[in-house]
Amino acid sequence: MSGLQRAMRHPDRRSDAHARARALASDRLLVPLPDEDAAWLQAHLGACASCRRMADSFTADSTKIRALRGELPVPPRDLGARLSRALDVEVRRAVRQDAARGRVSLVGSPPFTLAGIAIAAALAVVFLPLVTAGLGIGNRSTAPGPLDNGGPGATPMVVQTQLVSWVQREADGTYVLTSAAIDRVCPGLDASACGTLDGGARSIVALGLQPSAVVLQHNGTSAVLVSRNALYAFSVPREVRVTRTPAPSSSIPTPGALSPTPAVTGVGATPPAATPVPTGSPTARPTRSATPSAPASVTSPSGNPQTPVAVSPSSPTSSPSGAPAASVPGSGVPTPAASVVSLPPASPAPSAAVTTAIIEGVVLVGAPPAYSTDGQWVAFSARPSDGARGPDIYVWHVGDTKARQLTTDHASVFSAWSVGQILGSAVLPAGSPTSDASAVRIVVPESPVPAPSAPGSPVVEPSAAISPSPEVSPSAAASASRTRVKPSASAQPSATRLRPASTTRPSAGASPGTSPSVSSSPEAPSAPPGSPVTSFLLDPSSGAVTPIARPAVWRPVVDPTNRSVVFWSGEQLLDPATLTWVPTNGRLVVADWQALVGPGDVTATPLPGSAGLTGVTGWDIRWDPSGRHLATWIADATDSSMGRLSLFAVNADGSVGQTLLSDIAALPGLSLGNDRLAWASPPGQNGQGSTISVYAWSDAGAGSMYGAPDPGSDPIVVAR
Amino acid sequence: MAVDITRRWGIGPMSLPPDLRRSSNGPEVPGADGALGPAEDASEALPADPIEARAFVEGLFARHHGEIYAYLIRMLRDPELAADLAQDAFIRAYRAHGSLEDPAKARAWLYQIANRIALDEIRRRRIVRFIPWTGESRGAAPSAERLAMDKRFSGELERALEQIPDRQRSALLLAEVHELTGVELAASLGTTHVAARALLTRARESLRRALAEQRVLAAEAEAAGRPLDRTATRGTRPDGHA
Repeated sequence: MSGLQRAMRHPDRRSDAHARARALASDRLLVPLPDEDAAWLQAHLGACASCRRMADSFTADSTKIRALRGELPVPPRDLGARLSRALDVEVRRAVRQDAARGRVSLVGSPPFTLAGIAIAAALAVVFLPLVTAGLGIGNRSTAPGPLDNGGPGATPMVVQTQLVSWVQREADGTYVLTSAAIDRVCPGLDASACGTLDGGARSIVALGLQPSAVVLQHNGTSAVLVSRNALYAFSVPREVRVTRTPAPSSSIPTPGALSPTPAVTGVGATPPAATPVPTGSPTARPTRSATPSAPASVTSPSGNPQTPVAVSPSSPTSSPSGAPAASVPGSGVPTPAASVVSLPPASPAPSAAVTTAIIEGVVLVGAPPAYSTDGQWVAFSARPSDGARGPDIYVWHVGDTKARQLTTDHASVFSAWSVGQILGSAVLPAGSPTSDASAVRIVVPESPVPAPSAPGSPVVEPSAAISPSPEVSPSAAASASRTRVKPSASAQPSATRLRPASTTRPSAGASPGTSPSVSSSPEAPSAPPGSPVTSFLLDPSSGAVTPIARPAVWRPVVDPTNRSVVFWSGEQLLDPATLTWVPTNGRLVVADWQALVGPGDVTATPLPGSAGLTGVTGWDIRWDPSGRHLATWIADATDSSMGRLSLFAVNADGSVGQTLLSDIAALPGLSLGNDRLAWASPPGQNGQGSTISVYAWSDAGAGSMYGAPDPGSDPIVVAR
Repeated sequence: MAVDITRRWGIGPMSLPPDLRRSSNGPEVPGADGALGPAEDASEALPADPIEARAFVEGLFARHHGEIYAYLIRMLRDPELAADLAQDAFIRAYRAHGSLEDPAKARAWLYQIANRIALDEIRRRRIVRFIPWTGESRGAAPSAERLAMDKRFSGELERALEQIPDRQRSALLLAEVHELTGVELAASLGTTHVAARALLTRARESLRRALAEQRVLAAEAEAAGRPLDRTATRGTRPDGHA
């Protein structure tokens, strides 16, 4: 048998035509056959019964299978939310890897500082516009993605685009300032179906220091970092812009619709060309708003003689460490009128922050540092870390190398900014002249409010006479144990136990349900004239002091519309270890600001949940930019590194309205915008690490959004 | 001396045969399609632009998650597992976002990822099938969804589909149920157009035989007066494999 014959007898060879017929019979069910193949197949099937049965079977089976098209199983309703969460993790992982790559800390490396600045500035100038335009940064739509509609678990509510920034420790031990745009939240406080906000997070800058607080300039181009014994300033090398059109202040927030949504241009509506690209270069040195002048004389608006708060010369020289001044990069003048929320691209690794210590060897005291409204000043109060003196108020002008000491009485603390001036408080020396202004009356509303002093509150009887004078020596203070200072009448040089006159305890004759009026108030006046505690306005440029005549007002925080003020009314406690006076056994109250600084009587209402705070060592009061919301963070008495956060609506008349959030466990530091509150939950909540949390509201309601818990035990620091 | 037990007993990744070390349904002709990159090559990589990749994947999800889930559930017959693997498919798509050269072919690219995941899972099941069961598992009591799925897949056609080889089943499902074109089918299977058509032809032949076998089994069961064993075959798989 020849090879050809063997080949022809091979089964495969013999079946070539049938195999071709089967293939074409299959193919024609997938795609139309060419005419030639179709004709050949037709002819073959006409001659081959087996192949015809096969082809018919193919067609019949295909029909059966295609019938399954109408039986598509329905996916789980939460599949979209599950994927969204998984993507959050993926994006977070990518951001972390970005952050871990190419990061070189220049902190503490003076030889490289200037070179780093120059390189960063040059690269930013050259490449940022290209990158921004090429990637369409600022033009990316942040509308809810399709996952949001993928299932009932993902039912986010669109809110005004907000930027939230925080600092988190990375796996390599560095700290990265991260920002995320928030444009949706899940109703209520359960945001489990919304995924995490890390999905849109961008690593902004890598920090070589562990911060206890970070304060961002309003336009996001500079920031101040608070570490253990120093404050640092740094420029944000890439764009983080969160300025917006101010919200109307006349609207009344209601529980259902907390605040009207201001007209803010979101990311998606911002054309790339219009997106400002800060270079982070030190070229734009701001102009000072005022020229420093000689020490200002103290003037009381009421004309009463006041014990002056010692004010240092305005020359920018002093710091506890006496560090010399040098040139430092500044940032551009803020543009608060812009309505932009934008973030840098995610792919490049964050650059290392070029930080400059604006003050060293100090410990922060009083309210956290804060930028002035124009973004040109940062005010804070601090004391030497060696405990040699009490606290003083400092101010740092953006672009300067060092912070400038404004007070020298070593008993003053920063409280807040008010229309370009610093609000501070001080404990006056013994024997200071008293004020003629009447004390604030505390009016308790009809609803019962706990007494300011918790049952069993310890009353310290000092073993030695301690003057509230700032010139108390550490040894004497230490031997005096903790001394309560009376926020009332004639300051006693040998202050022993001094009961605060601003008590909110009902008088014996007070009847329940008394209406909240001054005449029928069950409360006694908070303090007689001549309180050793005073507050004042301090001009950051000239150092001019304008005392607030009203006694017993400690750390007032005025709302941006100048209607209301929240301050502490209670006892002051001298901590001998730090030589600082810590309010205790009192309460936070809210009053009319104009009335407080005016000559007439003024009443105050206790802030809900702030009574009976024995042992509280710190708090943080924030008004939102429109003055329609008020957030309070009050440290725990036993652990000042944690506290309780509350959020209140503010009525049109400036009074505190409904409590929107109450007693939320939170770490120090909060960020309150026009329609969102951000904070960091302490580690250990539900067995998880520290978490960035956002509560936002719009006309449609209010909701929350959370970040992925920190994998470690490090606390997250919310950038203010 | 420490002994690398995984190498000695051949149970570690290094002991897997080459066809298992790579993706079970890897391209027979790499780059044959020319438009789809190696979808799983970047399974552990990160996209260059996570935000863009995420937006892209969210768009894919919105358009295709239903059909991807349906495909996986038909391949695996397990709704919970199908949901997990559908999520996994989109995550892999996110990671491999940069490998997609032609966005117009994203659907086929996504099916390619899902197909590989499904076949890998099936292969994994076969590998671990002999592992002794040591206790209760989450699947000890079938869920209501699983029972409903079993009922849905209890038909003659479904049983026949279950009997044919996995790659042939995937080809049939992709072509007939999910209506992929010839080019898309080839891309999804990671092979050439010619090979995909040949695979589909073999799948039709296998299905025809499997259906015939199911009819015989049904007739035998009816004659014997016993319920049909839905998992029974006549000793050999339709493709000749035991």
